[in-house]
Amino acid sequence: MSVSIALIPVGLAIASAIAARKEAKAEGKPTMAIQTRMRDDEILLEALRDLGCEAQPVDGGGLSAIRGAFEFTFRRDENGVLEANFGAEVTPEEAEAFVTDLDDEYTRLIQARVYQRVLERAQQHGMAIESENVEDDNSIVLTLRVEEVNA
Amino acid sequence: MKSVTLRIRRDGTVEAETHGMKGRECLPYIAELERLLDAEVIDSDYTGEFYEATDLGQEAASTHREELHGNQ
Repeated sequence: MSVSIALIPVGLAIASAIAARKEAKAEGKPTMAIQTRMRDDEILLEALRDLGCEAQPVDGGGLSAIRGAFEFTFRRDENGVLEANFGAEVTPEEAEAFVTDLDDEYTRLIQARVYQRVLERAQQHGMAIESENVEDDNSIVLTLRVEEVNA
Repeated sequence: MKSVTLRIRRDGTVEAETHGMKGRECLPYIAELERLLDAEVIDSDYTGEFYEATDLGQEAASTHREELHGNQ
């Protein structure tokens, strides 16, 4: 035993609380924005579709989506993190609940991708999987035998 | 046996811990794990065994902590 490390996949920004805020009118319509911790358009698109939304990329970056009666968009902020934007027909509580569900699905996809990446690439990095286990909190615990470092 | 334990959490974050490595031998694995996981280190620390294995005194331990965090 020698070092412990905490890592965050590049698709995730360091966590921030999900909270809706009112914004000034855009194009004559009131809008509400919610900062997410999502950075990856492709994973977000999959998460939106998993939740039953119609979603597609938009020109110039970001995504637009429809869920039931309301439309919303995602645009990237100056730090590369996606921000959800809702129209006035959505209450802050509805928007926050939706983004919370979306965040849960997005992180589920991130976890699955990280796991798949380790399965596919461990050997290239001089490691071999010795054991794996799914714990009660749904964490996936992998033990990798170290064979060689290619650093 | 040298090994690495990965805990891939449901929230997408990952905790990693090396085992069976002596002293600085563990350091290359920080960058190696970043590449393997396509992830960034947000926190790191030596465990007790690092100091036991290398028989470091308190002053040396402090120096190694500075090196580790300077490595990020």
